[in-house]
Amino acid sequence: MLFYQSNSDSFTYADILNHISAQTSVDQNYQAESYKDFILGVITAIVHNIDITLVDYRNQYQDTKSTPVPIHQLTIHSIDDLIRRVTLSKSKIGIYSSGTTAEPKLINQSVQRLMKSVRISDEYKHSRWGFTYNPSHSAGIQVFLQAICNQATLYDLYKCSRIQILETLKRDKITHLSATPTFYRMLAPYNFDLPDIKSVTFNGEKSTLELIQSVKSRCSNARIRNIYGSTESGPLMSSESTTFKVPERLIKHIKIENEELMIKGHLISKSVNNLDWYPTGDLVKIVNQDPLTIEFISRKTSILNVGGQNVSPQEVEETLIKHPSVKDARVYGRSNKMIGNLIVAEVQVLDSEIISEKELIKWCKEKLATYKVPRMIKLVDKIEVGRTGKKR
Amino acid sequence: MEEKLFEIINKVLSNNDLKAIDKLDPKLSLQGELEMDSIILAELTVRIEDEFEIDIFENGMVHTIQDIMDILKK
Repeated sequence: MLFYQSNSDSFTYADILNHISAQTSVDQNYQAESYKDFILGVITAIVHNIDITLVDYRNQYQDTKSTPVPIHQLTIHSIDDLIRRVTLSKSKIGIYSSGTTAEPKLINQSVQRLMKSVRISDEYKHSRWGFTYNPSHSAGIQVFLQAICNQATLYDLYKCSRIQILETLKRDKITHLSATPTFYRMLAPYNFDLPDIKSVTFNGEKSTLELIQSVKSRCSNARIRNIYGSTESGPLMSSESTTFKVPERLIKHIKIENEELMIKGHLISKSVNNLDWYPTGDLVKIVNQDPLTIEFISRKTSILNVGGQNVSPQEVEETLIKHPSVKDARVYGRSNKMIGNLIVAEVQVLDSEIISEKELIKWCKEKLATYKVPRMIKLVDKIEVGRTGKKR
Repeated sequence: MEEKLFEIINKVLSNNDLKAIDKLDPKLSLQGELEMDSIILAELTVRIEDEFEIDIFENGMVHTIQDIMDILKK
């Protein structure tokens, strides 16, 4: 039974069992030349209960030394036995956070902690997952565990074009898709139908209601989940929209201080936190007091000061993306001595759409306060994303 | 240089719905006759920096087109 498929490679569960039985060592700073080697190496470490740090698949961290440890030969006779060993693994996995607003941090998560977000059920058995994340990062590992524990198949969509993605989703009748909002925006225009998809998950970045509704309209049979979480905490809350009703189990373990969401320390990986209350860096607003319902505004560190006024780049991006010709946008600040930051943007327009910088600026002026309007807009072919699929 | 500066100034004026200039008159005041506020000046600075790789406000405020030209000529 197939476990992984990409345009250039594929392997089965049988290949996994054969690979494990042939290994005599595991590299604790694991990096590989291909997804196949990467995934096989991680599974081998997990079933041997060996701690492993996931160095970026493309050798991003050049100063990381290979540290192989010897292992005894292990023959696993069945997929069920493989799954059992994965679910009981005592391994810790070192994962680098996305580093979207600071240098990436190394965060150690135990497989047991990661397994708390894995759902094993008939619903997920033999499911077909669109694999959109870098497997060396938090969301990628989460999907990978979800798949292997349910004997599912992963179809590699990471860094694929829109056409390749839609072809794979339709041809291979993908049933589950988990991705960043940036990935879903890349699928615009939303002129396709994907009736086979049963579950669509938004993860890793703040999403907009318009985006969720656009995707939902094309995946008419899918359950929608918008997840809030981080590499440090793992998934914490989910919603079908952009407002999150805080679950009962979390009510006493969160608080909001100066608009920033704080989480009780015990819910955060000890490798990055020893505080009683952990500042998430996420700014929220309370939509409802009872039941407590919150909405995310932006990352605290992404707020730009423009002449003493605070501007959320996400708000400006969302405004630009609402323009009918715009596919995606990235807003950032250009430092200058006059006002601190000048708001500027890169915009990717929909195929065959023509629009000018001036028209987009006019659009923003009609919808935003003057100081929030991007003053320079560069039209680009593609918005650059980082290792985790989030905008740079 | 002057031609490019003229283009940039008129682009900034146009983007901000301000009256364009017919020629590069050195005596024109950025905040006076050209009615540039701080945000528009910041835009001007950044566009000039992108073109000429010079921060015209590095050593303090500039007031006129002449001030900008003097900096760019250095």
